[in-house]
Amino acid sequence: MLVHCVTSANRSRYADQLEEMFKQRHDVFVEGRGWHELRRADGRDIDEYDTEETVYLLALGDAGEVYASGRMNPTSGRHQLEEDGVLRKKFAMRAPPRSHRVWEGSRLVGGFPERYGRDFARESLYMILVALQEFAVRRNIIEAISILEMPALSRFQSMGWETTPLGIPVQYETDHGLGEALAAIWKTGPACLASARLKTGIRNPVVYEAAPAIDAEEPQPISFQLLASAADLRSPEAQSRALHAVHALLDQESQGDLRQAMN
Amino acid sequence: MSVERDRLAEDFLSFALLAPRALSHSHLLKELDKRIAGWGITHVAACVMMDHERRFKVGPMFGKPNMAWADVYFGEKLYLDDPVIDYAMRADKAEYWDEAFDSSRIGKPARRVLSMAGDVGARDGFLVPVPLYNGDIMVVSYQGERLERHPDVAGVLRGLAVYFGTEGQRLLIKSKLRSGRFAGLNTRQMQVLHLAALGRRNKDIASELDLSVKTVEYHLANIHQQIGARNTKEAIAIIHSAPETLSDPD
Repeated sequence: MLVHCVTSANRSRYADQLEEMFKQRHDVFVEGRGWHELRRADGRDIDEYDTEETVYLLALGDAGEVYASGRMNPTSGRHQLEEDGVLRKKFAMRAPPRSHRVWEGSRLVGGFPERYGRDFARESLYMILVALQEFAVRRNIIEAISILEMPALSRFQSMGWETTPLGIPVQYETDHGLGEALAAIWKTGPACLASARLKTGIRNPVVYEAAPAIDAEEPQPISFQLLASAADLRSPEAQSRALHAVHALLDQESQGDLRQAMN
Repeated sequence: MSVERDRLAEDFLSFALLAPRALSHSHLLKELDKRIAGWGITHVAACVMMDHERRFKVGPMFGKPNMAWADVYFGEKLYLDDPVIDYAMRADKAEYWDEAFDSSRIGKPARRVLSMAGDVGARDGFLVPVPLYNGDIMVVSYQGERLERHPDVAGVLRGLAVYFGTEGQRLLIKSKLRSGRFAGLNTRQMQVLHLAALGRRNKDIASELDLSVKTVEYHLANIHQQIGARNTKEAIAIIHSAPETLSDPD
């Protein structure tokens, strides 16, 4: 399993996975948690904050199946806690920071213990948590904001990621009763990544960013199996070398030179 | 009681900022007490841990427990199968004791436990499950005669429980470092080992304490020798296996 960083540049290579993610988000947030405002006729959870700027982190298996996901938006663009937004008024009593180095994390989906078992579910969730910090370090993001449900707040805090509330916990109505969440800033950076690695036991890099799709009309598929094999190598050095080689291979693939490279 | 939302927010925010920097249990508790004064709470403790499969296990215990109730609780080994906590876990949300009572959603065994608590002065309470990153759940328990029920107060109590629970656990490690075989370590060694036990890498410890990485490694090597550990991993395991204390050594 690797966490793929899906940006506007390589998004067309992940059409099936993004579709699956939107359906999973619907299952988790609309059906599971009863967030009725998000309900759409097509059974997908997509809102105005799924934009061109959005970066999705997708934990994908060997066959490209989606095990966990998260949505990241720069606060310099559209995001849930933006000024004059409904959610900002409801959850934030203090103004959140707005900067290209502060991103908003939302729609964290992971686990599915009923489908994959508790241990595997936890592993995929751990992968996404480590990926959030790895992504932040790579993009030089200094902190993140989120509307966190209360269990997520304590999980972030116990992970060693210092959280600072932007308001008090607020209750909201769902189809299944009352939910509760609060807006908070959470730390990102090398120390938080180190803490996440230590607590989850995931020592190797987990984020993979595929090369941009050259031809958006006919995007080259990602070789998930090849990537997964490289990611399974035990030592970080071997994994790094293998991922680098696979990455180069996939770049050539996208330029139509795969056969030549393999020979 | 009138509840000013801005004041509540200020109290909550200031505690969240202070908690990661608290110096000791007593410091954390004193600051928490200041913020919950007037809400009818006489005792607050994080007293039970459950593993990710929702099985009871005795975990870190800290705060200001009602000692009479703690005697009964541990004397009767209620922590092995506490029906009240079991109910809160299954409900997966914070519960005032009387809410669980009023709705008749709990059975006779749970009523018996609550009645026993009432007999030793814990007539009202609010249980807040605090899930940790690894799936374990800590339960923060507020107790008193009659707790404030305003929804904003309840929200802030749940939020305060998160910071009290998670940071209290951190401080517990710190307090364990002050006993037994760690007693011979000097202040700097304590700081280094504490940060290592919290999961910081040598590089991060160096940066946090304004030392070089080599100096951190030097301190760790000395610590290993002094406490009889082969490496830092083993030193951290020794900390976790150290006996837990009910009271704060500060």
